[in-house]
This record gives sequence, C-alpha cells and structure tokens, in this order.
Amino acid sequence: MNERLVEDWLTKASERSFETPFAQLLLAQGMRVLRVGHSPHEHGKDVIAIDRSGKVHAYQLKDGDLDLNSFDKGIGQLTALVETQIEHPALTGNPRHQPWLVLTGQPSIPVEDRIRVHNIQWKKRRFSPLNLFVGKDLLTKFVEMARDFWPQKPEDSRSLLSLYLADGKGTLDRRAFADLIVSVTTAEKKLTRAEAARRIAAANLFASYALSPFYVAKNHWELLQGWTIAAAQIAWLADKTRLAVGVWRPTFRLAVDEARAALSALCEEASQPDALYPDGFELDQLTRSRCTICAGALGANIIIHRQRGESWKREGLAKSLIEQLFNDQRLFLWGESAVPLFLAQMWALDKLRADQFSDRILFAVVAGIAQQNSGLRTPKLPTPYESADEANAKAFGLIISGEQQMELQSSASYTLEPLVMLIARRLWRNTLSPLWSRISKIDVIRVVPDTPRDMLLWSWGHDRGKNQSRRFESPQSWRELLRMSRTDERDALPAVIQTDFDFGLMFLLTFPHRLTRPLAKHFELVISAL
Amino acid sequence: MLPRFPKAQKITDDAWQKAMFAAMHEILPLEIHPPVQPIIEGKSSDFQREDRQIRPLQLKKQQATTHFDTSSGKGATLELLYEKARELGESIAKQQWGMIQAAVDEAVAETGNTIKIKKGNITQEDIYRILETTEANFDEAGQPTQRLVCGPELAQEFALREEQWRHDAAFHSKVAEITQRKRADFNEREARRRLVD
Repeated sequence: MNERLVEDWLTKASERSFETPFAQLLLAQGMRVLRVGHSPHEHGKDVIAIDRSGKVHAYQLKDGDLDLNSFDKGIGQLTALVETQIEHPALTGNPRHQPWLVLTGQPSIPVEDRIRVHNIQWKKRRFSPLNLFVGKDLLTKFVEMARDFWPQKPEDSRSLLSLYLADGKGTLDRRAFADLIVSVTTAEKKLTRAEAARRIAAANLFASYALSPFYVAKNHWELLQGWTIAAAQIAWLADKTRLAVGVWRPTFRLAVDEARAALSALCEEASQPDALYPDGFELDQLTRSRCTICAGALGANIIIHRQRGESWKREGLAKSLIEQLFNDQRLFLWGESAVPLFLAQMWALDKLRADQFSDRILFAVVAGIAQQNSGLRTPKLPTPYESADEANAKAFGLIISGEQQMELQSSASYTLEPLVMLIARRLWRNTLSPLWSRISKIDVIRVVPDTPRDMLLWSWGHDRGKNQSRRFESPQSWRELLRMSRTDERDALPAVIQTDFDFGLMFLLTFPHRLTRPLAKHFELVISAL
Repeated sequence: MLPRFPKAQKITDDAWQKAMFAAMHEILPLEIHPPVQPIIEGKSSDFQREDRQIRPLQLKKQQATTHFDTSSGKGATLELLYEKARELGESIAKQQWGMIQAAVDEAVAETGNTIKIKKGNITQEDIYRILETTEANFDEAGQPTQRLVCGPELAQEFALREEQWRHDAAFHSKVAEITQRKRADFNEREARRRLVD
C-alpha cells in the first residue's frame, strides 16, 4: 500500500509540489542544496545542489511523461539548464555543473534519442551532457527513504490516507496532520541521532504526501499551515535529540521555505483586483473571515520582506488593502485564533505609516475580547484552538441550526494578556483605562510549556505543560504593567523562533494557541527594530 | 460482519443525546450551572481566586453507566431508549450537582458564611443574614445578578413568606437598607477596577 501511495502521489505531483521532496532526497544523499524554486532568473535550474565531492548539480523538474512535442516546446529551458552558468552567492569562479532533467513520469523513446543527439553536440562544445532522472528511479528512492517510518498503527495509516484523499478545497485537519508528522518523527524507544536525522528527512516527505490535495487545489493558506506545523515538529525533534545544526537545519529550512512559498502565493492571489469579494453565495462572516486571513498574510509577508532588507513589490498595494479592509469594517474577530492575523497587520502598518493607525487595530481587538468575554452569561469568543472554519461553524450552528450550548463558558481569554502587554509597551495607558473594568473581570489563561521547545508542538494533550488561570489586579498598577511588558522573557521561547524570523511569524499565524506573553513581546521588540 | 444500519443508528444516537441532555438540564438547568473553562491542554492546572490565592485544580473523573439487557434477543423500544437516556442524564446531573454543592460548601465553610435555616420556619433574620453574607453584584442596568438556588420545598416556603411579608414596611425598609449598603460595596469594588500609578 505504501509504495502504491507514493506511486500515485508521484503520478499526480505538480512541479511545485514535487520540489521540496526532491530537494529532501538530495539532502538525504548527503548533498548540500543551495536553491529550490522557480523564478524568472533560474535559467532552467529549479534546484541547485553540491555533492560530497564538491561537484555542482543543477536540476530541472517536470511533472508527468515527456513526449517529443513537449520536449521541443521546452528546449529553450533545457538549453539554458545545460549551457548557462550557475549564479549563486555560495559559488565562486565559473564552476562547471552537471545538468539533470527530472521527470515524475517517463520520457518517450524519441525524446531519449533527441537528448542523446543533443548531448553529442553539448559534449563537443565542452558542456556536461544532460542526465535523466525518471519516475521509476524517483519512486525507488522515495520509497527507500521513508521505508522504516511509515505509520505503524492502523489508525495512523488511516489518518495518512484520509489526509491524502482529503478535499484540497477544504481545510487541513491540522490535528491529524500534526499527529502524522509526530508519528513519523518519534519512536517508542529512545532515538539515536542518526535515526532522528533520518526521521526528520522523512517528515518532509510525509508532509508532501499529506498536503498534496492542497497543492492540486492551490489552497495556499492550508499549505502554509501544514508546512509550518512540519517545520515546527522538525525543530522540536532536533532540539530534543540535540542534533547538529548541519543535520536538521537544511531539512527544516526546506519546510519553512515551502511555507513561505505558500505565503507568497496567497499574497499574490489576495492582492489581485476583487480577489476578496465573496466566493459565490456565502454569508458575510465567511467573506470577512477570508479578508482577515488574507490581510494577516499580507502583513506577515510585508514584515518578512522588510526583515530581509527587501521591500515586497506589492507592498504599497497591500498596505492600502489592509487599511481599506480595516476602515470598511471588513475584518472579523471570529475567535481568538484571529488575533495573530490582526497583530501581523498591525506590525506591518507600524513599518509603513508614521501615525497611530496600526494601534487602532490593536485597540479594536482588545476591545472586542473585553466586550465579548467579560460578560457573565454571554457567549464567549471561540478559543484560539478553533480555526476560522470551526468557529464560524459553531456560530452558524447556534444561529441557523438552532443548536444550544451545552454549557456556559466562563469569562476567560488566552490572548488578552499578551495584547495588554503590547498596549503597555506602546504606552497607551489612557486608551487602556476605559477598558480596564471589563479586562479585570476576565481570567487570563496561560499555557506554560515544560520546556521552551514544547511550544513547537501542535498539541500537548494532558501529558505536557501547565494550564494557568490568572487575573489582573484591581486596581492594577500601571507601573507594574509597564514592568511586566518590558521584562525580557525570551528565555521562554524556543531558539528557532528567535533565529528564524520568517518561521517565527508563520508559526504565530499557524499556532494561535501558542500566542504567549513572551512571544508577543519578542515580535514587538524585533519588528520595532527593523 | 452482519448487516448494520449506520444512518438509522445515527438518528437514534442523536435522539439519545438530546434526551440525555434534556434530563440533565431538568436537574441542573443551564441557567444555574456555573460557567466553565475547559482545560484543553496541560498535565496540571491551577487558578487564581478572587482573593488572589493560587490553587491547584483538582480533576476528578465522573462517570455514569446504564445497562441494556440483550438476552431476550430483542432490540430496544423507543420508550426504552428515552428511559435509558433519561436515567443516564439524571445520574450525570446528580453527580455534577454533588460536585457543585461540595465546592460551595467548602467555600462557605472557609469564609464562615454558613447560615442554618430551620425548615418550615424561615425568619426575617434569616433573610437579613442571607443578604448580608453574600456578595451582591449588579448588571449594567443596575439589577442584582445573584440568584437563590434551592429545592422546591424551600422555594415554596420563600414564596409563602414573601407573600406574608409583602406589606411589612419594617422588613422592606431593612432589606432596602442592606441592599443599598451592598450596592455601595459593589460600586466600591467596581471603582477599584482601574489603572493606577
């Protein structure tokens, strides 16, 4: 069954969905991957890697079988692959490279013959001949790579199949996906470092299989979340088993870069004219939820580019879009899982405006939580564990289907404390004061990990961590709030969140239930310094 | 496997759930159920009380069972389905009641607010003490939010006394005086909900 699944996946894989597993394959063979991804400047080289002997390899990836017609159409790209020099900051001089054409399917016999003839010419002109890497070879390699790590329990196998066969236009079952990656990366016995390294490599393969329906549907938001969950699990295992950076980091970065590619694609699509209009007939809560997710993604993309010292080409458009969505009340606090998306918008506008517009976003969120969650018997905002889809489904169940709540929720919030810390850091005492009566009635819930790395796990169940319920003081000393907001708590964060800014920000969007006081303060500090 | 009928079974399962919750809510109505905070994650939990003390949360598993005898070879009737669901709902609700009562008793004992009322002989002094010892809160319209939860017999007696004392000016004046004081306490507490230097 396992081999059939890989075979089926390989048959359906697009160039995009196939890049990361292929790069992972190269890493597993001891190669150093320099670049992965399509761009106008790739010159036919989708993946560039260096083998153990220092030889440079360039790969062009194609999905499906290759007939002569398609070969002739793509000959320009292939010529560029073979003949143009590789340009990469890690390479000096004029290194000769080995070109590869990688197919998920098979070339036709005339194509093989055409390549043979081209190779004769290329050899004469002192270029390295084009090598072929075809579907059946890939299948063997992929199966071999994950051989020992397929889910062993029937329920895990079923979960993988369910994910693999899911409707890519729907939502990713994040819990099941996280459980799958956990099952691949952990074992009942203590892992040796070598096995941990192999399991980490396999994690990206299984992530690719499970996320393949979302590649087909180009469902970027779910892909972003999936790859961020995979990256987080890889970082968790690396930290736990104290793997050398060189062993886990390339694999981790592959997952992060794939999440970033999804973020970029989402932002490109969201910034098209009328992209945020209703998707057919739907209630406005859903349209506004989509606007909120996209605005958060745009904000995150702007900040990530800025952190790299670049400016995103659509930055101006994205800024106007976020402002317009906020001014037109097109954003929606469906539950506490929306909070990180608002924070990303706020931090982006911090960088793009000289006034306090961005703070209005922060106040709107805090006021919304204070209003909704302070009432004794009123319905509360869904917790950060519930996605937009789940939260809206719950609300629709009550409004439309006449469902009844089985219990009353207490006045509590997971995200209120970090938000109050941000307001304090920004010295908005007078704006916070009118809200304080309500805020002081709300229990602030903290989920405290046993070790900082546990923050990276999607779920602790009831085996890890502490759940603490606290209250602000009444009266509350502003000076004390200031002190708390300025205390450095970065020790409470996993190292990878501090070292990999792009991962950290996407982690925040994907894991809203891990929005803690130290995490919010960390981003506030780092982004303000950009 | 012998033939199964999952779609039809789902309808009966849903009916079971509804009947069970209806029975639960009869014994412990949603209106008087204290608000809850589900513990989604964490191997341990604690909470902060109004007096700012931090206390560990004691988690205790509750369970209720019911039995259906299949030895006759016959399935259940609809009447039996409702009966069993009700049985289970009542059992769960009673356990929850017990839990809530125990927590209230513990809090009352700790604060020294125990009031003993003689059955069939509620006095005006009892009412004053109830009002004095409980914390009064008011909603945004100024209406009291606290409720008196009691059994049907006691409720009947309260209703009877209310009727008897309807025109007792001294009683009403005393109740108004206590309520006014409680409102002042409440206002003072609320006024403390602010940011200070």
